[in-house]
Amino acid sequence: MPNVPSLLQTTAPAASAGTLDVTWPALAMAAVLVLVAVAVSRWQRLGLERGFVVGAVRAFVQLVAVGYILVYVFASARWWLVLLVLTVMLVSATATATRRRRGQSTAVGERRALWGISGTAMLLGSGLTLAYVTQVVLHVRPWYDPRYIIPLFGMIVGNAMNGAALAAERLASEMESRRGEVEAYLALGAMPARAAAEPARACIRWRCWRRSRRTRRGAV
Amino acid sequence: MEPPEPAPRTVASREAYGDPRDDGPSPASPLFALRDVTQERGGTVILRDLTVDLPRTAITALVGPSGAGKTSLLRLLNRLDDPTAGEVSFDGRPITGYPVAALRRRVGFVFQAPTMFPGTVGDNLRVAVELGGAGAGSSAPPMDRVLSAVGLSPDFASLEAGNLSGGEKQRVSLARALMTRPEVLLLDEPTSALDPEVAERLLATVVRLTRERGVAVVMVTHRLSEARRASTHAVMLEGGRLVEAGPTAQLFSAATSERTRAYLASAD
Repeated sequence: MPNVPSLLQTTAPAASAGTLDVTWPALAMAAVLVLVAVAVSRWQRLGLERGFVVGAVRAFVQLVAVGYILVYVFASARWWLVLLVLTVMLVSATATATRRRRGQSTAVGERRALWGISGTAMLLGSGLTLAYVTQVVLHVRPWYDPRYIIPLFGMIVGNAMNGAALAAERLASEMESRRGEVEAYLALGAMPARAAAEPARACIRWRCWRRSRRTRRGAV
Repeated sequence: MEPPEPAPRTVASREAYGDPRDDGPSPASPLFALRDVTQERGGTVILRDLTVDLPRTAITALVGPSGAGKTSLLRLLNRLDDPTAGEVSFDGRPITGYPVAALRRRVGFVFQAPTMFPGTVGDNLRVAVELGGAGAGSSAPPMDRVLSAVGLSPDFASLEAGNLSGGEKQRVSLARALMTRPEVLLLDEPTSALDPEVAERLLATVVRLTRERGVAVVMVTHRLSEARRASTHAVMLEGGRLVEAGPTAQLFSAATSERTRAYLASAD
């Protein structure tokens, strides 16, 4: 087992091998922001104080646990361990992306289909993007170097997760608002994919438009 | 308007769709047979243990108060919905045994609120043909004849469908359904949004279609005068249950159920 460094130091922050250690005092400084949010909530009588505190504690525990795991993975630098982490990230992103739609669907087959479609879409989209960026653009060596692969995949799959969740919401609302049109197609013998083609196109157009608007803002 | 005579059934379109049956059903067998059909939606029972035959008469009317389950029953007949329990048969065999797309081209559906596809009236009619795949075009009826059959001039083909009036849209919707040469037409309150004069013309068109083209019709209506004048058979539903079914003349003149008599007397 490789030598796993501690996540939280008691000394001042020190940069080593391109990483920053978070000290206990620094962590306490970060908690000040939570206290500010709690104070504002109390001042404005929003009733969100408990949620802020519980969320902060939960985030702290989760991040520490994930941090220890990642420190181990970074230090061991084994390809199968990196792939395992990516798989966990993908499954977790799929679960999050489909959570809201799953809540509205009771049929087991429908839920499985939703999982399968979302998971496959995110695997292909995020996986191919990661492979292209790390191997063709950045020439990461070895190909599984966790310092690049894991953070990049985190960003890509996080974006895909938001995209999938928003697309599912939008598609459902398009299908609902165009129910008459979809049923008219079905009643004439159209296959489901043909009947849903226009709502799906509208959904993709909407998503691309949002994305291009965000990209333009970023460029500015 | 006199109730139309039962129209002869055509099997030409059945052969075109490659129905694998060797021999057809006997003329006495029902067009649709529902056995112990229950339909639930969101935990609410819409149809409850419904057992009824819809005969091969020209027009069957489904009547009953709001919430009786008339539209829900109609949607089961071309599998826009499937029942939660029980079985629906069409033409002598379970409806689930037919390829669903082919079934829907044999059993057309005209909705209460007509939805026009983008483009002209001609585009709308062509979509119905194109959805039948290769070969459907050669067997499709000429557009001009279908438009005149529903009481529209051939000039309508070039008009933007979205700009038509409600009555015209309903006629285009009917014409679109006819482009697949259906054996059965399911009409969900086709005249409910139309003024009486336009409604009367549409109903006359439907009656003429059954006579001239041998198309069987199952029609949901809340206008009992329509059911009385146009249909040959009527089915009375209430609260998702069958109250009474039989020849229209008999139902209107000598209903056996007290509930049917009360409804027919109070409504319309």
